[in-house]
Amino acid sequence: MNFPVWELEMGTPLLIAIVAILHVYVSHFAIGGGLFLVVMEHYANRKDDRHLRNYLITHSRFFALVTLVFGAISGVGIWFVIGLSSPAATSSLIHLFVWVWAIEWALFIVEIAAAIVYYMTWDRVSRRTHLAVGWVYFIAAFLSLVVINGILAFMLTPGEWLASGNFWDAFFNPTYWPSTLARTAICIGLAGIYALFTGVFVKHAATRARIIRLAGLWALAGTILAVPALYWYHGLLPAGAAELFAGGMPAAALAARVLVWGGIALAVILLAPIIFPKNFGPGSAITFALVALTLFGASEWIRESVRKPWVIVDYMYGNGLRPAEAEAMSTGDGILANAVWVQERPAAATTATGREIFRLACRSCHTLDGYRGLTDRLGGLDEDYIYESVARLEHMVGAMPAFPGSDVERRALARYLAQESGTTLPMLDGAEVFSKRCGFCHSQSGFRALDGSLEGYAHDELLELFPELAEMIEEMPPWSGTEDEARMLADFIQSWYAVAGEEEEN
Amino acid sequence: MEPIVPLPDVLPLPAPLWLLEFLLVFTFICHLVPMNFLFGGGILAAISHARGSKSENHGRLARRLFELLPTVIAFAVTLGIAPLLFVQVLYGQFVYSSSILMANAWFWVVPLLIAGYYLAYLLRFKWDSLTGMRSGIVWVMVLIFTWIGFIYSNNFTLMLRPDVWAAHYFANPASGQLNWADPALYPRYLHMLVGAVAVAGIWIMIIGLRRKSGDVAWSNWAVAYGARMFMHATLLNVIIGFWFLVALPKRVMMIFMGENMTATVLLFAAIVLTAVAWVLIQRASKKPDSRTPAVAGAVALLGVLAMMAVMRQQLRTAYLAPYFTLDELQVAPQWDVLGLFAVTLVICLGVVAWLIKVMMRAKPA
Repeated sequence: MNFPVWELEMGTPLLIAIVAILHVYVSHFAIGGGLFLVVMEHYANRKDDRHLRNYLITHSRFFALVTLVFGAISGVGIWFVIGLSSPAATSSLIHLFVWVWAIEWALFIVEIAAAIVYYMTWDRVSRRTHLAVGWVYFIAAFLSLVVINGILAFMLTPGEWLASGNFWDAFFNPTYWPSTLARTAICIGLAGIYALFTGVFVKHAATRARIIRLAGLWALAGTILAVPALYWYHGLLPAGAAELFAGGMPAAALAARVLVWGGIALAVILLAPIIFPKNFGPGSAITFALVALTLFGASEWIRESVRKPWVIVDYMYGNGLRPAEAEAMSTGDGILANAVWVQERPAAATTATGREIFRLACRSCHTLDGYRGLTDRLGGLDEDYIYESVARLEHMVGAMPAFPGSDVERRALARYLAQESGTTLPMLDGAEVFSKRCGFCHSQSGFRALDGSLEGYAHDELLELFPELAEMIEEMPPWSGTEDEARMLADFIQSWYAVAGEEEEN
Repeated sequence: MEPIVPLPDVLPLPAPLWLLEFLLVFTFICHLVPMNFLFGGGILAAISHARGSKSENHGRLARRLFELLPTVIAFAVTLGIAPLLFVQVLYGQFVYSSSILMANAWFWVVPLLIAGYYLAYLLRFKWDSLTGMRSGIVWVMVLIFTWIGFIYSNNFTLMLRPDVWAAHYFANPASGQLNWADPALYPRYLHMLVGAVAVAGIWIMIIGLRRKSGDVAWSNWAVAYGARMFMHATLLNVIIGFWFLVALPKRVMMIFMGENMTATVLLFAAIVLTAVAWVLIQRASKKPDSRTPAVAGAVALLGVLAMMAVMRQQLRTAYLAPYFTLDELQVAPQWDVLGLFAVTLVICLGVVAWLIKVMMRAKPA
C-alpha cells in the first residue's frame, strides 16, 4: 500500500509468468549449454573430430546469440516487471540480499565476457586456452545459479529467517538444496534439448547422428536426475501446498499433473533420438523443445502457485501487506486511512471507494476482465452476496488472504464489483449457479466435495436447506439467490445422483 | 494535490550509507562510459554510414563502429545493473513509484533493448548481405537506443518529483505516462545525449590511434574527426548545461550557486576541466602523430564524467530533501556477505582481465 499499483488489464501476474518462463527456459540452457559445449569440445579435441568441432563452432554462435541477448536481457526484464508489479516485495528482496545480487552481478560480468570471448576465438587461440575460456564461462554461469537460487527459494520457504532475521538462515533456507539440485538437472536436460535442435541441421550424416544421440542422452540424464530432486523438493514445500495440489488451487493441481505425466512421457520419447538418431528431424526437435518448455513452465507455475497468497511466505502477501499490517487495518481504521496512494478519502460505501480498494488490495493478483478476472466470476451475483463473500476470502478456493479492510470498505468493494460485473444478468443454468454460489469454496466431487453430503435430499428439501446453511455453518455466507436460482441449483444437485442412479440400474 | 511520500523499506540497509552511496556513484560512472559509446557512438555510426556512400573514410568508420557495438552493448547493460541495484537500495520507495507511474514505457525498455541488441548483432554478422536494408536497420537501432535513454531520463527525473505524483498517477493508472510536464527533463536528456556524442568522439579518436599500423591516412582522419565531434558537441553542451541549470527548481539550482559549497566548487571545477579537455583534444586533432594530448584529454574527460556523476547525486539529494534524506534509513551491515562480495568481485575482475588478454592476443579472424 506504500506504492502505486499498475492497473495492467491483462494482469501483472500473467506478465510476470510470461517473462519469467521465457527467461528461465533460456537461462537454464545458458548454464547447461555451457557445460555441454566444453565437454563436447574436449571430446572433439581428443578424437580430433573436425566435423564435431565445426558443429560446436556453429552451436556456440547460436548459444551466444540466445543467451547473451535474450537470456541476459530477459533476466533484467524479470527485475523490471517484479519492480512494477510487486514493488514492496522487490524492495524487501533487494534490501535483504543486496550483496547476493552484487555477487550475482560480478559473476554475470565474467559470464558475459567469457561467452563473447568463447564464441569469437575458435581456432584463434590455442585449444587449451579456448577450452579454459569455456570452463570459466560454465563455472561463472553455474555459480550465478547457485547464488540466485537462494533468493528464489527464500520467497517460498523463508524458514528460520522469519524468527532470526539472520541472512544465512534466509539464504540456506529449507528448499535451497533440493531446488538447486533440481535446477541443475534441468540445466543439463535443456542443454540436450537445445543441442537436439541445432544438431539436426548438421550436414555430415554420421556426425549428425552422433550429436543427436549424445544430445538425447544429455536430455534424458537431466530428466531422470530431476525426479529425485523434485521429489525431495516437494516434501519440503510449505504446509498448505498439499491442499493446493489436491484442488485448493485448480491451476496448480493441473500443472502438477502436466509435470508428472509430461515428465514420464518426455523420458520415454527421449529414447527415440537415442535409439534412432538417423530418423530425427527438425520437426521432432521443435516438438521436444516445446514439450520441455511446457514442462518447465508447469514447474515454475507450481512454484509460484503454491506460494499463494504470499509473495514471500509468512512475511508478505501478494498485495504487499505484511500480516501485522493487514491485521491492524482490518481491526482498525481500514485500508484507505493507511495507504499512501489514495485519491478518495475518507472511505465511503461508494463505487469510487470500491475502485480504490480493488486497486490496492486485489489488483496484485486479480483483474476485472483479464487474468483471474472477477467480472466473469461475479456476473449475476447480488451485492450482498459479494459483500458476505469478501468477509470469507480466507476460506475460498485459490488461497486468498483475509480481507484487510473495514466494514465500509468491504461494502464499497462489493458495490464496485457488483456494478462492474453486472448484477442483472440472469444466470443461465444450475451449473452456473453452483459455480458462483457454492464453487468459490466447494466442488461437486473433488476439493471440499458436496456430493457426499447432499445425497438423498428431495428437491423441496434442498430449497429449504439453502437458506438454513448459514445458520448451521459459521463459514457460509447467507443465501441471497433468487427463487429461480434456488430451483436451478436444486435441479443441478439432483442431476448428480440421477446419472449415478441410472448407471446403477443398468 | 499533496505530495505523496512513500515510506522507506522496514528492512535495514546491509552496509554503511557511505559505502552504498559510493558504490551507486562509482558504478554509475563505470556504466556511463560504455553507455555513452553506445548512445553517442550509435548516432555517429549512423551518420557516418549515411555519408559512407560519398566518403570512404566515413564508410570504414561506420563499419568499424558497428563491429564493436554488440560488445559495447554487453558492457553498457552489464555495468548498468549495479547502479540500478544500488539506487533501489537507497531510493527504492521513489524509484519503484516513478517506474509504476510510467509503467508501460518502463516495461517496454526490455523488449526494445532485446530488439535493438539483436539488430546490432544482425548488422555485425550480416553487414554485406543486408545491402539496401542496412540504412533502415541502422536508424531503427539508433532510434531504439535513443528512446531507451529518454525513458531513463524520464524515470530518473520523475522519481524526484513527489509533488506531481498524485496528479500524474490518478490521471492514468492503467498505463502510466512520461514526465512530459517537467521542464528539467528536456535539457537533462539533451545534456546526456550530446555528452554521449562528445565521449563517442573520444572513442573514435582512440580507435584511430590504435589502428596506426594499418592505414595511417585513415587513422589520422579518424583521430581528427573524433576530436572535431568532441569539440562541437562539447561547445553545444555548455549551452545545454546552462539551460539545464536554469530549468531546475530554484531551490535545487541554488545548491550549485553558492548554497552548497561542495556542489558549487564541483560545478566550477568541472567546467574548468572540460575547458582543459577541450584544449587538449584540439591539440591532439592538430597533431595526430602524438598520443600524449589525446590520452591526457581523454583522462581529463573521464574526470569530468566522474564529477558530473557526483553532481547528479547531489542534485538528487537536493530534489528529495523536503521529503527524505538518506540518514533516515536504518543500517545493519552484513559484513560477512559484503566481504564475500568484495572477494568475488576481485576474482571476477581478475578473470575478466585475463579474458580481455586472451581476446587481445588472439590471431586475427
